[in-house]
Formats: sequence, structure tokens, C-alpha cells
Amino acid sequence: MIKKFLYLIFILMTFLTAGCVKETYDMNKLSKKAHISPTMAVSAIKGDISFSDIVKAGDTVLFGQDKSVTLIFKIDSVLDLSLADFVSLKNTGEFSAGPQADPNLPNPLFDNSKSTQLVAAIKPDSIDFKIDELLNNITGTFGIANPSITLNYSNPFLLPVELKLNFTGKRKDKTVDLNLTPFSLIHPVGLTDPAVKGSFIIDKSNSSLPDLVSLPPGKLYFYGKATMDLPGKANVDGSYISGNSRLTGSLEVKLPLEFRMNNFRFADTLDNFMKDDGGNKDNALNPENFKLLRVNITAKNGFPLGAAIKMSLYDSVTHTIKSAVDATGLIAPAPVDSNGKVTGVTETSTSIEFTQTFFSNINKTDKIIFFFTLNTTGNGAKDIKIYSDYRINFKASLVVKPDINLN
Amino acid sequence: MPGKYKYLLISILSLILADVSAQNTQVLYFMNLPQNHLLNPALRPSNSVYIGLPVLSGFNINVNNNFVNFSDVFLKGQPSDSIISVLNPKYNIDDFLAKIKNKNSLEPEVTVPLFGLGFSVGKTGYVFFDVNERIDGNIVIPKDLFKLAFKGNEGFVGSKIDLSSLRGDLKYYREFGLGYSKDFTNKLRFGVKGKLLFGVAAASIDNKALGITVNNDYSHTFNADITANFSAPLKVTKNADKSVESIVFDDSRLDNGSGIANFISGKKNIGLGLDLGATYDFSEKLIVSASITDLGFIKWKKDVTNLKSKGKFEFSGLNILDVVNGTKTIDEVGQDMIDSLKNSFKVTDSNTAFTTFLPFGLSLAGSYNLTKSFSVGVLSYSRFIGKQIRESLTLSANMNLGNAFSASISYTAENHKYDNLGAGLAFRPGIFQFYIVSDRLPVTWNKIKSDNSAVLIPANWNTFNLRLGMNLAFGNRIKKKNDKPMVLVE
Repeated sequence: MIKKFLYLIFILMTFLTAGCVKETYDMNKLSKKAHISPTMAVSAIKGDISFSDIVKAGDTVLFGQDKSVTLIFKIDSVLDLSLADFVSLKNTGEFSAGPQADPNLPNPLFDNSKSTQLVAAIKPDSIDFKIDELLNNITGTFGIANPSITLNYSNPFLLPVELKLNFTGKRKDKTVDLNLTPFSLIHPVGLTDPAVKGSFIIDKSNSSLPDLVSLPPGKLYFYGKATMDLPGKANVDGSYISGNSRLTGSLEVKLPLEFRMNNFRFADTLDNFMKDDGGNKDNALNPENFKLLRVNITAKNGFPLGAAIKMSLYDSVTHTIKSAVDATGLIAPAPVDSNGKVTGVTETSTSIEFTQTFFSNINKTDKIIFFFTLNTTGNGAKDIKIYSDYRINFKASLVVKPDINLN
Repeated sequence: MPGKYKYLLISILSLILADVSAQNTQVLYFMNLPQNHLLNPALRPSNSVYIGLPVLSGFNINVNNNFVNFSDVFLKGQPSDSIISVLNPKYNIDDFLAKIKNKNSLEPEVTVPLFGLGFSVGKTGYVFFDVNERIDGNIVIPKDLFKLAFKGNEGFVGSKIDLSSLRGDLKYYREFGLGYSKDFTNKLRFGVKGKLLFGVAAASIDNKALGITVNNDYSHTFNADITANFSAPLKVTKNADKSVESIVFDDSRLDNGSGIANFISGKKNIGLGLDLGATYDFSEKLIVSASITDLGFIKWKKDVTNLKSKGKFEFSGLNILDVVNGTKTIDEVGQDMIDSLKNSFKVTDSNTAFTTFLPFGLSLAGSYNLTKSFSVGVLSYSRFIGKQIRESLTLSANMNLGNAFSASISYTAENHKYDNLGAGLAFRPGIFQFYIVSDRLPVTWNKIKSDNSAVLIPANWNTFNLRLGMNLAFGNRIKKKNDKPMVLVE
């Protein structure tokens, strides 16, 4: 037995010494690639935000007692006329010219049929909102339901004054006139009466104001005339004036946030800011280092507004879109009642996925086209109202799969 | 089959099939070597005196890991004879992760004997004294940490990244052992060994809780209650709020000889240890034995640094309300979040002494002498490391030819591996006794070529165990019997 055991030991030791090579690894042929691609998911941002968090009440934003929201703009010194500004058509004959602040303004035409009229031209002016570029990129329909303009004036003239105001909104080659019927101002009765303060409201009942506002205009022109009828022979020595010698007036534009939108889309083309310009090779955010980037958005939307976004990588040389991400149902609008007021929230979950194909096309394109689309509840079939206590609760999380090169 | 034997068989099978892993040199147990008293102080060598000298006495290295081999990390033939690593995108990382255990341990152990002495006292007594430098480590890495690194956290959505099993424990200490064994009856022999331990340096992680819950909305809840204890020359820099800013090794303490001597003396970190063992001869052929080794602890008092972090932090995204209403910028909101995270897990330090316990072992063995010099044995060795238990079961065939030659071959089921063949060999020309012992002989090897050189490494490296060295041995207690035959006188 001892002999056998020694044999066994001998075999074992031989085995140990010689060994048995199972595999040969030639490390000279080791691939140098060393990457890891963990998929990391993390909450990014969150918010529970009301309208009043976004927009504070102030001079231009008014929160009503019922929490309705109205935008208010004031334009001072729209009217500033003295008697000297009035011209007797009888004495001067044809009134053919007024101050031309803008060569595009229409020439104010005056009714010279009455020989006993004094007419003053309201100095034409214009407001350039400087949003032409923005408006050029906007398509779809938009309608403000109940805008109004209030003319607050102070009238010293004893005789009736009729105002003919006109506003013309212009957006690209499309114009909309206010179409306001001339209206009379209240006036003092007695010679010693002070100037009378009055107001006149322009709204959808007497004008095309909703159409004008909903254009929406990039530039707004306004002009007009004030006409004073003389009873019999004119006495131009000042007896038609009471108190303040000037007819002054200002405008207050009120835009209650009651509107409708249907595929109201803003599109813009930008230079591809994500493209690697080759300047920084160590750029940690090189888009090609990502295999996947997904943005998950969940929202409980209490606004009657839905939103969608789309981003396309565009090659302006070949005029082709190489890749696109589309979040059509990013946020769905909340339901509303017959008055346009929100009755609940709509919960939406959306994923916006940027694939490796998308990332690989970043450096092959020179432009990025963004589309941002808004729709009100019912796709603009009815007006909705905005209240200051509307809220949106949302969470956005990121799922990132970076390709981390360990070499 | 009688009931008790059935249960015994089931127990043995359970041991084999369970999470089998231990750390010892099981082959040594049945060999006639002075070193076997390290496994059971009741065991004694046949020589009357042995001396172990620094360096010459050899060393003992154990490295256990229970998760990867070379072939798991490097994959051949993708394509032909090219090689890809686990980090290569072509490597199916799921295959790699499938090989990873829930708790992946790495347990290095190095023992370098500085001095050893053993001698017979009286007819059956034996005294042994030894001094050993020991480094003992235990690192457990939870599988979730690998999954997190390679796959990210998306796979944990709706569950928890459980890092509570993350553990690290590394001790460097010096062991002075004095033992004595003696026959108490003809059949029963007891042995005891007391140890005085001097800790040189230690790092120990006390992990009460560590995890990250990943909720369905990708919000995260971080939870930690973890303390890292160090006994080492460290320099801690603190912030104004007394939180820890940085921690670095203070190498200025080791600039000169006295500093080094002071560091390695370990005089202030004192511990005690105990080995107990017994053997019982049922007959001349059947011997059973049992032992408990390395029961002990070290109280670390010198250069102690305790870094503690306890807290809970929930992150569900940056709240942009403040950004929307204009009170803060997004950068400020981000910074607030980082500050909040830092405050939640503020690392504080203290200098409270701490205690580490040695992983202790329990051996149960039986041997059967088929002839005078040839025996077979079975050894169960359990190693208790904190709450973890490692098991191994060894079957061996042993031959001891007096003091001149001792050999053993073994099969060990250990560390999820059931192909561990071990062997030990000792021979004694004159007073020199050479030995080499390993529980795991690499049956297959991998040849690793690089540039113009090549090395062989075991194909399976889950367990690496090697003990080799040389003793100076004198005398031999095994003597020829000179009994005279009994004569019946009528």
C-alpha cells in the first residue's frame, strides 16, 4: 500500500510540475477597448407651480376677485388736442394732409361736407412690438375672446366732439382694422363747467377688436380725427372751451385671458449648438458619448393648455432631416366646463427619447428645428379662461446611458 | 439506516452542497509536522524538539475569492484568438454578472512565522511557543455594487440597491502564542494555546445600513449608517462645522527608524487569543479530534480614527419653484441640494477605541489508520467571520513514515468548488524538515503571454493556498516497541 501511495504522490507531483495548460491567452491580442455603459435613471426637476407663481399681479397683470386674469396695457397721451389743432374746413378748403409719422400710415381723410365743422387730426402713431420674427414663425389659430380698450378722456369743449379712431394691426402682409364706428364724447354744458372726464369702451360689440388682437399684430397703427360741429356761425374766440383748454385722452387695453388656440405652433431654426466644433476633444458632454438619453415627464396639468414639442436635426446642405425627437402629447390640457373654466386635472406621462442614432447625427447636421405647439382644451373649439390658481404639477426624470471610455 | 446516521449523512451532504468556503490548510491536519498544532493545539509532532527560524520557517498564504476567475474577466476567441476584457462592449456583461454572487468575498491571509519552538515535556506533554506576523483581511462586495457599476441603477427601479453587506476588515497584528498539550488519559489528549496579540494597524468597516432605494419615479432615498474604524497614522482635516474634509496617511510618522519601530511595535493595541483542542483515540486505528482556533480579539487604542456617517436623504429632483418665481437661480437650487446631501451624510470623526474579533475556526476531524503509517481522514473546518460562516470538508489519505517523510493528498469541497485536490509533502534529511502544503493544486493552468514572456496561472483561482517552509527538527518520540511477548506460566 505504501508503494502504491508513493506512486500516487509521484503522479501528483508530476502533474503539479508539468501542469495542464487549459488555455493560452495572448495578451498582445487583447482588445484595448474598455467601456462601460451603465443606465442611470434619476429625477431631474419637479415643480408644483400655480399661475400666480409664474406671473405676479401688478400694473399689467390683474387678478380679479374671482381669480380671473386680465392683462392691462396703458397708452398715455393718445389724445392731446387744443382748439388750435382744429381746422375750419370752410376757411382752409380741402383738408388734405395731416402729420405723417409713418409713410405706411393711411392718409387721414376728413369729411368736409359740413362747412361748419372744425376738424383735428389725431397724430398718427404706431407701436412696434418687435415680434415680427417671432410671428413669422407662428402658425395656427389663436383667438382672444373678450378684449377691450377703454378710452379715458378729458373734454373741455362745450360743443359735441365726435371721435373717429382707427387701429390697424399688421402681421406680415395681413392687416386687420378696428372698424370702430365714430362716437361722441360727453362735454361740459355751461361755460363755467369744468372739463368733463369720460370714458368709452371699445370691444367686440362695437368693433373688430377681437380679430385685431387675435391676429396677433406685430405692429399696431393708430390714427383718427376729432370733429366738432359748429352751431351756426363759428365763434373762434375760445367760447367753445371750458376749463382745461386741451382735449386729452389715454387708452387702457384689457385682455382677459380667455382665448382659444388650435395648433398654435412656434417653429424656429437654430444653428446646431450641440455640434462638436472640434475645439475641445475632452468635452465631457460629447453627444457621441451617449447611447441613450431619455427624458420622462409626468404632469398633472390643471391648465387648459396642452403642449407638444419636436426637435429635428436638419442638414441644410442636403435639405434633409436626419433625426427627430417628437413629444406630441407632452402635456395634455385640463378639462373645462361650458364657461371655459378648468374642472379637473389631466395626467400625462411622456418620454422623449434621444437615441444613439440621434446623437450620431448631431455632428452631421448644421441646423436644429424646434417646434413648440400649444392647444387649448378641445383643440381650440371653444374659449378657455385662465385663473390665477391654476396649477401644474410635474416631474421630469432623466435616463442616461453614457458610453464611458476608460482608456 | 438508523435515524441518527441518516441525519448525520444529511448534515454532511448539506455541508458539501451549502455555501462551502473556508480558509485554512486542511491537508496539514493529518501530517506529522509541527505546524499542525496551529490547527489543533492537541496535535503534536513526533519530533522531540522543533525550531522555526525567521524567513526559513516559511510562510502561509491564503487568498479566497468566491466570484471570479481569470477566464471570467478575459474572454478568448472574439473573434479567433483575440481577447476581450469584461470592459469590452462585445462582452455580454450579463454573463459576467451571472457569475457574481450576492456576497462576493475576498479573504487574504498571510502568516509569516518569526519564530517557533516546540519541545516535549515529560512522557506526553508538549510545549510550543511561536511568534507570527499575521495579516488578515476580509472584504465583502455586494453584487448590487457590480450591477450598479456595469448596468446602472435603472435595473433597480422599484427596489433597493442593497449595500448593507459591504464590509471591509483588514488587520495586521503580531501573535505570541504559548501552548501546551498533554495526554490526560490513554485515549484523551488536550491542548491549549494562549495568545497575546499586538495590533499594528487595522481598518474596519462597521456597516449597519447602506443602501439606495430607487423608486418608480426615479426618486432616490439614500440611507447610511456606517462607521469606518482605523488604527493607523492618519491625518484628518476638518471643516469649520467639524465635519471631515479630508483624510490622508501621515507618512511623516514613518520618516525615521524610531517612527517605524514605534508604528510596528503595536504595544498599545493589545488583544488576546485562545486555541483549544482535543483528540480521542477510540482505538489504535480510529482517532477523532476537535479544536477551536483563533478565538480572540484586539482592542485598538493607538492612532484611532472613527469616521462615522449616518443619515437619510431623499432626492426627487430639483424643485424649480424658486427658479420659476425668481427667488433663486437653477445653480443655487442645485447647490442647495448638494449642501443638503452633504449635511445629511456629514462625516464626523472621533477617537474611540474599537475592538475587532478574529475570525475563529472550528475543526472536527476523524482519521482511521489503515496501517501503521497510512491513514485516511475526514476534516470539517468551519470559519466564522462575523455573521458569515465558511465551511469546508476535506477527505484525505495520509502517510507518515516516522519523522522522515510525511505526505498527504486530499479532496476538499470548498468555496463553491468541488474539484479541489490538495497535497502536502514533508521530508526530513537530518535535522532539516522541509514541507510544502497546499489545499488546492491547480489541475489546469492558463498560460498568459505578454510581449515575449509567459506565465502560468491557475485556471481557477478562487482559492489560493500555500504553506511552505523549513523546520529544524530534533529527536523522535516514535520509538520501536521493545515489549516482550507475554508468556503464560502454568
